[in-house]
Amino acid sequence: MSRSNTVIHAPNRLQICTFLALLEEAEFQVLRAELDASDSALSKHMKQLEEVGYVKQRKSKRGGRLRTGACLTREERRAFERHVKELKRLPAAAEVSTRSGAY
Amino acid sequence: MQEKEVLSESGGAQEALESIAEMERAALQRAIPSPWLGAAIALLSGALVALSVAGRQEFHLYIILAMGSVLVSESVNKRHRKGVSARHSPSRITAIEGVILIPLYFLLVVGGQALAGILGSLGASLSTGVILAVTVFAFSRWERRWYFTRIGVQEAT
Repeated sequence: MSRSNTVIHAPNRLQICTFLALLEEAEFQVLRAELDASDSALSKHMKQLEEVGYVKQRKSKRGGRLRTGACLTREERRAFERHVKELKRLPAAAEVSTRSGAY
Repeated sequence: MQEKEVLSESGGAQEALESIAEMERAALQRAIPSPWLGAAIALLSGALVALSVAGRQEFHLYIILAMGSVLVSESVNKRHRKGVSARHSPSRITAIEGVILIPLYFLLVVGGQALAGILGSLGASLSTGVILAVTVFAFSRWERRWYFTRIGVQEAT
């Protein structure tokens, strides 16, 4: 994966970005449930994504409990779309490569 | 060597694409608009055009406020029940709906005023209101079906 973004290529981080790309915001608990990940593992991934400016986390109080929401920045949405395009290009390139090797 | 690289990268890419598709389905499942949202917006849109045809524009503000409240309550409900907020930016479907519904609204107002001479004010406003309400409701069903198709499940009836 030469040109693709290595930060979002890690399986769990890619899943986080995919989930957030289709939504405005998602709660930490929802992400944890969808990823089937532990609190600590998810926190680690979120921290990594936040460090490179991909994810923004917001804390809000609801029903007397502190909730953490996460969302993608506009730039990140674009970066993610580019990344997915790049991923879709690879299997097609491999197919062409296999076909040309067969002849 | 280059061919091997492409093949190994493509294997990883295929796995990544599968995991993307899985998460897309999960996100869309949580973002599906409630069935009552389409019905409420359809009723209010119908009322809006009916009031315009009847020349009662003074009630427009209340209808628009009611539409705003419905949208806010849908957003709050989604946040509480599903733990997510749907995207605010207009999708391709919303754009298509807007392109059809906005001219239709004005067409119905003009058409309804022209029809008032034949059907009477009440008949014209009611019939134009029903036409817009049915169209908006049909669009809302179409939008929900689009979500279900992308998720790959049948909508429960």
